Amino acid sequence: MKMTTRIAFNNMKYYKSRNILIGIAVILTTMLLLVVPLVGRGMIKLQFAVTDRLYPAWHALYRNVDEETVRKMAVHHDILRYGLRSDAGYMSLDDASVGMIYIDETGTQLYKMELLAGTFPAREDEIVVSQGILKELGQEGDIGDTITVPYQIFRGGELDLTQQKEFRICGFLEDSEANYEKRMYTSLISESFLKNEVPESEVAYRFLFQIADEGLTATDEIEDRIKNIAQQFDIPEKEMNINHEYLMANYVDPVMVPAIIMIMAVVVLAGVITIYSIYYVSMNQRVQEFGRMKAIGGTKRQIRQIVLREGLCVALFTIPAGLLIGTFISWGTMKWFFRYAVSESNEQFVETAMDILESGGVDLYCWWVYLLACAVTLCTVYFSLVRPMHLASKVSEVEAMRMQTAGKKRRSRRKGYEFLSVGRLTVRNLTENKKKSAVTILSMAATGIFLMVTATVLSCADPRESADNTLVGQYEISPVIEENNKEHPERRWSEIQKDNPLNETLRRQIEELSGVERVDAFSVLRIAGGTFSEEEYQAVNGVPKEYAKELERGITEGGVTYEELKSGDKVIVDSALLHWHPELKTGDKLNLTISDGSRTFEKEVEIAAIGEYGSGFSNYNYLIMAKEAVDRMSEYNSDNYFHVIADKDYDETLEQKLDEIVRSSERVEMRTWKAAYEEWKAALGITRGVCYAFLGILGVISVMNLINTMINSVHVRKKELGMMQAIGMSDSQLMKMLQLEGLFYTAGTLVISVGLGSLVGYPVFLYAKRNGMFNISNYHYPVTTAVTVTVVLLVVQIVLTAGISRSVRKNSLIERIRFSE
Amino acid sequence: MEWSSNKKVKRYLVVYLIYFVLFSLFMFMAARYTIAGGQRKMIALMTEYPELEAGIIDVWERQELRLTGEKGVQEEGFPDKKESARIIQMLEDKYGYDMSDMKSAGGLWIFWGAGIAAGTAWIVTAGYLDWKKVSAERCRLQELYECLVEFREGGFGAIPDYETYSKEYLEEWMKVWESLRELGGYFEGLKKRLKVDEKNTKTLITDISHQLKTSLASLRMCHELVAEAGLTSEEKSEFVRQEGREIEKLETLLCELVNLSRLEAHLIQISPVPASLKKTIAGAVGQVYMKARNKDIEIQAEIEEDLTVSHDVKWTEEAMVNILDNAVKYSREDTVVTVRMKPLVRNVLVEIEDQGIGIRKEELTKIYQRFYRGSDAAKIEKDGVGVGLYLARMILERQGGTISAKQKKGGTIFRITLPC
Amino acid sequence: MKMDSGEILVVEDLVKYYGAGENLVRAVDHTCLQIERGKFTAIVGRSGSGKSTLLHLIGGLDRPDEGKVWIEGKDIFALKDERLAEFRRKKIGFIFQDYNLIPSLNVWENIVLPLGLDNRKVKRQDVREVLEKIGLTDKEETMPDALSGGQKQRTAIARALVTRPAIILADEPTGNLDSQTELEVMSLLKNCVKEFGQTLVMITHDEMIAQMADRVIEVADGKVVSD
Repeated sequence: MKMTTRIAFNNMKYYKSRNILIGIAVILTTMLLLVVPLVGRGMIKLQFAVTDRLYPAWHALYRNVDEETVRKMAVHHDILRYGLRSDAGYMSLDDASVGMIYIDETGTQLYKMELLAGTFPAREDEIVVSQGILKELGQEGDIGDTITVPYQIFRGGELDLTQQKEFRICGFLEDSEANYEKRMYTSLISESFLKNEVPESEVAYRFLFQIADEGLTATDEIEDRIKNIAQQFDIPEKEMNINHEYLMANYVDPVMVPAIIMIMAVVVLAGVITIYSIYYVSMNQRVQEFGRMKAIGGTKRQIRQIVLREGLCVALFTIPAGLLIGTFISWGTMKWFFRYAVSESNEQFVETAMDILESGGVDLYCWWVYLLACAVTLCTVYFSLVRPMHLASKVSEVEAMRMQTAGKKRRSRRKGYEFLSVGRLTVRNLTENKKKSAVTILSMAATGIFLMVTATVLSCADPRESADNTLVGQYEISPVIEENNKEHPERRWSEIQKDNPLNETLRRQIEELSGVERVDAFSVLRIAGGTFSEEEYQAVNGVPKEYAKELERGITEGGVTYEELKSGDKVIVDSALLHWHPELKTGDKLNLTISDGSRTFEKEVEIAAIGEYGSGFSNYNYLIMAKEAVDRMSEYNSDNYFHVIADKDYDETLEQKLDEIVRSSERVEMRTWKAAYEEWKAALGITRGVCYAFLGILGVISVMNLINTMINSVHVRKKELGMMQAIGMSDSQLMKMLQLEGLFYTAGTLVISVGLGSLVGYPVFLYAKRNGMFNISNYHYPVTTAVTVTVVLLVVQIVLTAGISRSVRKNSLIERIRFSE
Repeated sequence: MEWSSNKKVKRYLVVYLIYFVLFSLFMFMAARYTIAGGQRKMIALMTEYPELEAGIIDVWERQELRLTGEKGVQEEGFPDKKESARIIQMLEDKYGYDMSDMKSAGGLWIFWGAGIAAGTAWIVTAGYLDWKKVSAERCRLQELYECLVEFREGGFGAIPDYETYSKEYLEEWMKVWESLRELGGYFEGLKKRLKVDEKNTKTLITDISHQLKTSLASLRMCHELVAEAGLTSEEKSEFVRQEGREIEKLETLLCELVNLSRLEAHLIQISPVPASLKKTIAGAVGQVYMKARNKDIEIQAEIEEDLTVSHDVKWTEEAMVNILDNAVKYSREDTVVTVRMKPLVRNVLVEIEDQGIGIRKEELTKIYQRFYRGSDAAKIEKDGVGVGLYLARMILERQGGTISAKQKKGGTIFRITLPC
Repeated sequence: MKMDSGEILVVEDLVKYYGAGENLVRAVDHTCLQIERGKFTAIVGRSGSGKSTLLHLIGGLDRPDEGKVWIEGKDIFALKDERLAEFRRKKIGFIFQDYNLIPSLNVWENIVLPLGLDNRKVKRQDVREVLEKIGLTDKEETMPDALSGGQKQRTAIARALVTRPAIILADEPTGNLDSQTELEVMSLLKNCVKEFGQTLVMITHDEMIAQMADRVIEVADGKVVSD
C-alpha cells in the first residue's frame, strides 16, 4: 500500500498544471460549501437574536377574553404560560396619545417590558409613567411624587367622559425615539384600578400565551395549535393575533433548510462536473503509464488506488486552504451585508442586528459545519474519480504499449475533405475528440444555464416595477381612517364619506403645485353584508376612466369593457379575492349589502371577469367597477384615494409641499412612490449582490474546466503540432487553429447556456410571478448578464489560447518533434 | 475558407459596414426630424385648443397608422380623396398656400446636401485610389520587362529585391518574381551542367584512350617480342597465345567501352516493354553459365512464378550479366550463386547472392563509380576495367529500378528492383 | 543573392553547440557543404555524429549559433519565423523516421495538408497520380492507424512530393522498416525524385542505403569528413 501512495504522491507533483486546476476547483468548492451553511446559519441565528431582543415573546394573543374563559384556558395542557393585559383607557391629552394599561407580571415578561426604575403598580393609585408622558402632562415628578392625570375610560364600547385623579408615581419606563416622534406613550396602572373603573361585565383581557413546544419544531404546527385552542374556546379568528415574526425567528421556517441544502447540492454538482471533466480529459495521456504498470505486474485494484490517492492528495492540500478562505469570507460577508443594509434603510431591526453582530452576541462558527464542508468536498472528489478510476484500470497492457488510446475504437476509414485549410483542420481535431469536447461544453453550459435562469429572475425583479405595483402614481393621499377609535368616531369611513377631506379644493390645491400633472381619484364603498360578511372588510373599488385600458388589460378570465362596468351591475374580481373565496367564477351573482354613510342598500352584481392587478391598483378592494358607477350609488363623496401623477419620480420640493398639505389637513396621510422604490431597491440590491457573487464563483469553477481542456488538447498534440510546423504551418496559422478550437468551445457553451438558459428562463419567470417573488410582473431579458458572460468567456478563451500557443512556441520545433513528453 | 485570407475583401467589408452605419444614422435622424416637426405642430394645436385635444390625438394617431401602412390607405373616417382635394384647393385659393412649396421641407434640404457631398467625396476618393493602382501596375510591368531583357543576355540574377519591399507588390507579383528566380536558377543549372558534361566527355575520352593504350601497349610488346629473333618456338607460341588473349581482352574492352560511351552519350535508348522477367534472367544466367561451370560454381535459380515486367530485355539482361559475371569472378571454386525473384508491392525484387570475397564496407558506395576497382577485387582479377556495375546501375536506374549490395558473412547479395 | 554557383543548397560555416562547459556538445562544428540540384545526396555518419542536427538546420527547423544556409540563393535564416515557415512549406519537403502523419486525418488529407496550409488549390488529378505512384490508390480514405509501416512512409513520401518542393530532406526514413519494405520505399523515393527533377538529401547510418545515392557525404563529430 505504501508504494501506491508514493506513486500517487509523485504523480501529483508531476502533473502539476492539471492538478493546480483541480486544486483551485476544490478550494472554491470547499469555500462555497463552508460559506453557504455558515452564513445561512449565522443569518438565522442573528435573526433569532434580534427578534428576541425586539419582539415580545408571546406566541399569540386572544383579544376580548372574559375572566371565565381566562380561567379555563389557564389550565389548558398546551399552554405553557400566559399573561394578561387590559387597556383601561387613555389619558385625555390633545396632541398625544397615552394609553393606560394593566399588565400582569407574566404579561410584562412576555412583553419584555422592563422598568427603568421603581416597581409595577399594585395599589389603586399607583402608576408607572415615563419622562415623555410627564412632559405631555406638563408636570414633573419622581418616584413617590404625585401627579394629576386627566383620563377617559373605555365604557360601553367607547371612551367615556374625562375624569381626573391623583396618582403616585411608582416606576418609570423608558421612552424610545418612536415614542417621541409619534407622541404615543404607554402608562401602567394596577389591577385594582382597572377593576374599580371598568364595570365587571365589560372587563376584557388580552390573553397572551406561549405554546408548550415539546416535539414541535415547525411554525406551521404551532400556528395550528393556536388556531385549535381558539376554536375550542369560541374565540373568533379576527380576535386572534399570532406573533409570526417571533415564531419564525425561533422556529425553523420549513422552507429555509431545504433551500440551503439545495444550494449546497448545486455547488457539489458544479464541483463534481468540473473535477470529473478535468480528469476525463487528461485520462488518455496516462494510458501508456498505466499499461506499463500493468505489464510489470500491477493489479487493477492497485491502479485504481493510485488514481484515487492522487486525487485525495490534491484534496489534502487544498481543502484546508479552502476552509481558511471560507472562514474569512463568511465573516466578511456577514459584516458587509449588514453594513450595506444599514446604509440603505434605517430600520431598527437592521441596527439591532449590527449591534449584536459587533458585540459578538451570535456565535457564527461551529465545528460541525466545518466537518460537513470537509466531508462533502471529499465526497465530491471521490465521486469525480470513480469513473476515471474505472477507466484507468481497464487499460490493456498491449494497447498501452502500442501507444494507442484506451478502449477507443478508431475507425479505419473515413471520408475526408478534398482540400484542407486551417479551419478544416480544426474541425478534424474537434471531431476526433467528440466526447471530450462534449463533456467540456456540457459541463460549462450547465453552470451557464443556471446563471442565465437566475439572472432572468433577478432582472425581471425591477424595483421600479415593484414600486409601480405597490403604488399608482408618484404619491398617494388617503384619508386617515380608524374604524374603532371611540375617541375619534369621526374617523370611521362612513363618517368620512359625509365630510371627505379628499374634495375638490384639495384636488385643486394639489394640481396647482408645480410638477403635478394630474390627480386621479379612486372611490370605495364598503360591503357590510351579503355574500361577504362585514368582518371581511371587502369593498367595491371605483376605477376612473383614465385607467380603463389598464383595467381591460389585466383581465385573465372572462371579458368586459369599461363601458359595461359603468352600468354598476357588473364587476371585475381581482384574482387575489380567490384566495379567500376560491369558489367564485365568472357569471356568478353576488348579493351585496353596501354601506354608504349612515345608510345601507342592497345590490346584486354579476362577476363579469376576473383579473390580475397590482396591490397599488386595487388597494385590497377586490370588486372593481367604473368610478362612475360607484359614485352614482353613493350619496356622498366616496373618493378614497388621490393618486398624484407627477412628471418626475421624486421631487423634493413637491414632496415637501404635499407633506405640508397633509399635515395641515390632519385628516389625510400620504405614501410616496419613492419610499416604496427605495424599499424594493434595498431588498433587491442585497439579493442581487449575493446571487451574482455566488454565481460568479460557480462560473470560475467551470472556467477551470475550459482551461484544462484547452491545455490538455494542446499538450497531447505537441508532437503532432510540431510535425505540422515542420511541414510548414506558420506560427500565425497555429495560433489561428487554436483560437478556432477555443472559439468552438466558447461558442458551443454560449449557445447552450445563453440560448437554452434564455428559453428556460421564461417558464421560471412565470413560476416566480405566480408565487409573487419580488413582486415580479414583467419579463425582462437579462441582456447585461448575457453580454457579460459572452464577453468574459471570449476574453478568457482568447487570452488562454494566446498563452498556450506562446508556451508551445517556447520550445524549438525540433524539441517538440523529438522530445515531447 | 480561402476568401477570408483575402485582405481586400476584409477591407471592403469594413468600408461597407461604416457606410451602412452612417447611412442608417443619417436616415434615422431624418426620420426623427420629420416626426418631431409633426409632433411640434400637434402639441401647438393641443395647447391652443385644449377642448379639441381628444379629437387632435385621434386624428394624429390615425395619421401615424397611415404612415406605417398598417391598416391600408383608406381609414374609416379619414377624409377621402375628393374631400382632400377640396381642402387643398381652398388652401390655395383662400389662403394662398402652394402645396408644392418645398420650403417647408426646410431642414431636409440640409440632409440631402450632406448625402450628396458624402457620395461625391467617396467617388472621388475611389477614383483617385484606382488611378494610383493602375500607375503602380505600369511600373511593375516595366520592371518585369527589364528583367527579361537581362535574362536574354545571360544574366540570371538581376531580379528586384521583392522580399524586402513585399508590401508594394501584389501576391500575384510575388509569385511571378518567385517563378522568375526559379527559372533563373534552372538556367544557371543548365549552364553548369553543360560545362560538366563537356568535362565528363573529355575525361571519358582520356580514360578510354588510356585503357586502350595500356592494352595496346601490351599487345605491341608481345608482337615485338615475337617479331624479334632469338626466341625459342615455345616462347614464341607462348607469346602468340598471349597476343591472342590480349586481343580478346581488347575486344571485350572495346565492346564495353563502346556500350559505355553510347549509353553516356544517350545514343542508345532504353525502351522498356512488358516481357517475361524470368526469361531475361534465364538469358543472363545462360551467358555466364560456361564461366561458372569452369570454376565449378553452381548457379541456382529460385523463381516460383514468372512475372511480366516492363523492362528493356536486352539491356536488363546485359546489366544482370555484369552482376552475375562479378559474382562468378570473385567467388572461389565450388561455391553457389543463387538467383531469386520476388514480387514486392510496386516493384519486383531480384536477388543475386554469391559466396565470394564480399565487398568492404567502406567501398560499398564507391563500387558504382566508373572505372573503380575494389581493392580485394583488384587482387583477384588484375584485368578488370571497373565498368560493370557502373553500367548496370545506369541501365537499371534509367528504367526506374535500383541496385544495392548487401554484405553477408562470406559473400554479397546484390538486390535489383524494377518497377512493375 | 548567390545565384552564380547554381547549387541548390549551400551551407556556409554552420555552427550549433549544445550545453556548456564540460557538457558542451559540438553537434555541428563549422560545417560547409554544397548540394547539387536534382541529385540524391546521402549524409552518413554514426549516431551522435551530428548529422541529424545538420539536417534540421538545413531544413530551417532550428536556428544555428553561427553560419548561413542558402537554399535557392536565399539566406533562410535571414527570414523571420513567419516567412521561414512559408518558405519551408513551399520549398522543402520533410520525411521523418517515424510519426510522419497526423493521426486524425486520412491518407488523402495527410497528403494534401501542406497544400492546404499554403492555400494552394488541390488539383485532384495530380494527387491521384501521386497516389498511384506510391501504390495506395485504394487506401485514399484509410486512417494512419490502419496502415503498415511501409504504407505510412509511402504516404509521407507522397506528402513530401505533392508541393513540388525544391529539396526533399529525409531523416532515416527507412529506419523502422524491414529490409524488403525498405528497398521498396527507397526505390520509390529515388524514382519519384528523379521523375520530378527534385533534389533529395537523406540521412542514414546504413551504408547499404547510402549506396543508392549519387553522392555520399560522411560526417563525424560535427564536421564533414569526406565527400
